[in-house]
Amino acid sequence: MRTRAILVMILFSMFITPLVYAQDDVTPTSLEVKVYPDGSTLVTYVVESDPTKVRVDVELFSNNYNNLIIRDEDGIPLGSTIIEGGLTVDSIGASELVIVYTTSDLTTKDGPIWNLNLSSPVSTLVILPQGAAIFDLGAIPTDLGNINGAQYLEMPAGEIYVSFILSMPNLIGDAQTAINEAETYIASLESQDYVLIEAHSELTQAKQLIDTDQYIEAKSMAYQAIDTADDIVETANSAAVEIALAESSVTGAEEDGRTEGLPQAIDTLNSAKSYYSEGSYLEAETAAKQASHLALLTDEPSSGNTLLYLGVAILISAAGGGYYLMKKMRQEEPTPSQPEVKVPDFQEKTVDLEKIFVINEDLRLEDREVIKFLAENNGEAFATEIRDRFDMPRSSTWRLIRRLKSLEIVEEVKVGNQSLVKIIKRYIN
Amino acid sequence: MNVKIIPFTLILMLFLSPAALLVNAQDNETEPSPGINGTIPVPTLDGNTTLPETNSTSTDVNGTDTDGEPVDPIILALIREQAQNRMHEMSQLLGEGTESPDFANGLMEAKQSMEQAMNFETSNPSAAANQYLQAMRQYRNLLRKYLNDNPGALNEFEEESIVNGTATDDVNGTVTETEISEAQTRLVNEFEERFRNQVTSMMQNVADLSDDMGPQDAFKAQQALTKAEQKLLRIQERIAGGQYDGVLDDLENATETLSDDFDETDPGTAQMLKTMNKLEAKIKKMEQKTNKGESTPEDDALLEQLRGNKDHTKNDFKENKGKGNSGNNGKPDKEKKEKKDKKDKDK
Repeated sequence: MRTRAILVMILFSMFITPLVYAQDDVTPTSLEVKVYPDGSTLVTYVVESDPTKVRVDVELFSNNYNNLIIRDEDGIPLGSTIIEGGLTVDSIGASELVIVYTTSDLTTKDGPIWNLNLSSPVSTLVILPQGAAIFDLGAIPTDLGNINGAQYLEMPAGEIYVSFILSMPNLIGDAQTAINEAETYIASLESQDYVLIEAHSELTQAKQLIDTDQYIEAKSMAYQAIDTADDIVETANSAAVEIALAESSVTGAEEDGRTEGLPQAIDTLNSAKSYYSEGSYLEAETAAKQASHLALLTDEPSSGNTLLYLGVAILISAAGGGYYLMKKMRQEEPTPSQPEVKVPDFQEKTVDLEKIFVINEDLRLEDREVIKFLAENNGEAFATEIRDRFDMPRSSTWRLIRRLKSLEIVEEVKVGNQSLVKIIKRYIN
Repeated sequence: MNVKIIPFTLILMLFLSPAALLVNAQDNETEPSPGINGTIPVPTLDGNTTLPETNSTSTDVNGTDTDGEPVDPIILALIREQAQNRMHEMSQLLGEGTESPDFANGLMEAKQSMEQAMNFETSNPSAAANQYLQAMRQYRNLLRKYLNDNPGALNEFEEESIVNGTATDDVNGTVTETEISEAQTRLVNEFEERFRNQVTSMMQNVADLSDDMGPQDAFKAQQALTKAEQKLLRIQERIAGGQYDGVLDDLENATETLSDDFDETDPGTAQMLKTMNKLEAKIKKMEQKTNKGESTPEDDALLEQLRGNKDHTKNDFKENKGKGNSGNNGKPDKEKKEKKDKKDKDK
């Protein structure tokens, strides 16, 4: 029993004894490890080889490698076979072997931090990617410098460990650049008469963050200011279009003598213009739409029912004609009759109906009709307009909108007491 | 009885296993072999052990350099520059007046390491260098913690890191199997010719040194060379007939057998024969180059040097004949010399 225990212990000791194989046919001369931004390495290992030997064994620094090329001292390519831990090279009397290969086995990544780890029998030249910042070294290098902007280290033989990141972000510089960009962008938009209060506020916040050394947050806030400015401009453009449409409708009503209800339409239009001037573009857009709606509901004073229907028909035709004319005029030259509201370059929204119907192939017929209606109306309409257009009860309209919302085809925006149904941006070209 | 023999054998094997290490150490006595990724923990100033993947040269908390390796002042200055860069970058990243106590303490500790390093610069440059590395490690740990707490900040690093390049881009060309095969045929021809000349020269060398080698070793050496010559003749015939299959194996067998046969002689003689054989191989290679008109003035100088080394080896052997020279250093083995002297006295 005791003998068995001794045997087991001895066998165990044998297993933990390191396995080392002789490498006396070659003497390492130099090693160069060039590290690339993707963590791959180009290894150039030079060994002195016994010229009396036909084949020599060479240990490599990784188990996996690619692009292996071995040449002798005259640059003649040599063959090799893989053995455990390295290669048997057909040296055929070579005095020197230059072994070049690529491998990703020598590096590991921890977040942005790269670690190079290898055990070298000779002093090793480690070349890091351009701009790399060293964070740790396993030993004091014997040389340190730059080759074409890339940092190099001559590390003594033994365990080689280099920890680095590809480049430290220039936080102050980046944050300042972002703020400058945002400032320039916002100023250029303001020169086009846009009012960008919210974007300005964010820009101020970004500057304050820099003052408190919060550079990453400052950069992020500066870019957010640019996004906000873009959003505001989009809303402003949309509002300008609605105001132009409302003006056209009001002018049409005036020309037709439909004075009943006209003052309310004009008042609402003026409110829209006022909102626009102060930079409340969303409110301006809503008010303009209401003004258009009110202008359409105007009537001639004391006219009968028959005349009323006739009048409405004429009014609709006139509004349609006016809208067409206005669009045509806008395409040709700027309208001098709208000095107080700047109408930015307007591009009519095109709804991608095909995309909607392909993605949502199980849509009901009435849903499809409403979507087509929205598409014809620049991608949006008030819930009341939908109800009126399709002569639907309020509850049915509400269910239809809810259905389209759940399918993420439309979104609903509350404008005053009204509900504006808009095709979502995904389907707008 | 058998049960006792087995443990004994195993113990013997255990004792012998370090011999493999000794063999490996022949080329680089103080250098470890590649392929073993080891880690040594490094103590920090606060006494904690951090960064398990690092293995710096050690410095105690008082800054006493335990390695004593001198550090070039220029290198020290460059390491200082690296550490200072990290200090500025991390202060910028975390904010000089960071409100987080962890980061504030971390920055302060790293700064203390920097200050300690500066203090050591004149008195103990090595300790200073290690202390700068320690500070860099502390900054790296802070960076890790910061990224852990602020995963969004990782984008900043990723954005900065968009630099292209992979190792494959810099690989100079490719070598096809055909190219290797063609080169191999040429090399085999040249090697066979060289080896033949080398054996002939070795025969002459053995003849020159036969008196010093003693009749038995001289005979063994001559026999080994004759055997190699015969093998080479057969290989030559095959090469002449264009039969290259297996020629490389036969050549390897011939060279290895010659080396093994040399080992049959006295260790000192065997060592001398192998050294001579290696020198002859190098000489024949250089001569081959010269004959082809491919040698440079440096090659000619090297050839002269090799010939000189050969003569030196011969002379050393002659001077120390019978005294043993297992270290191949031209000096007789001390122990053997003493034993020989004792033997002579006894006589």
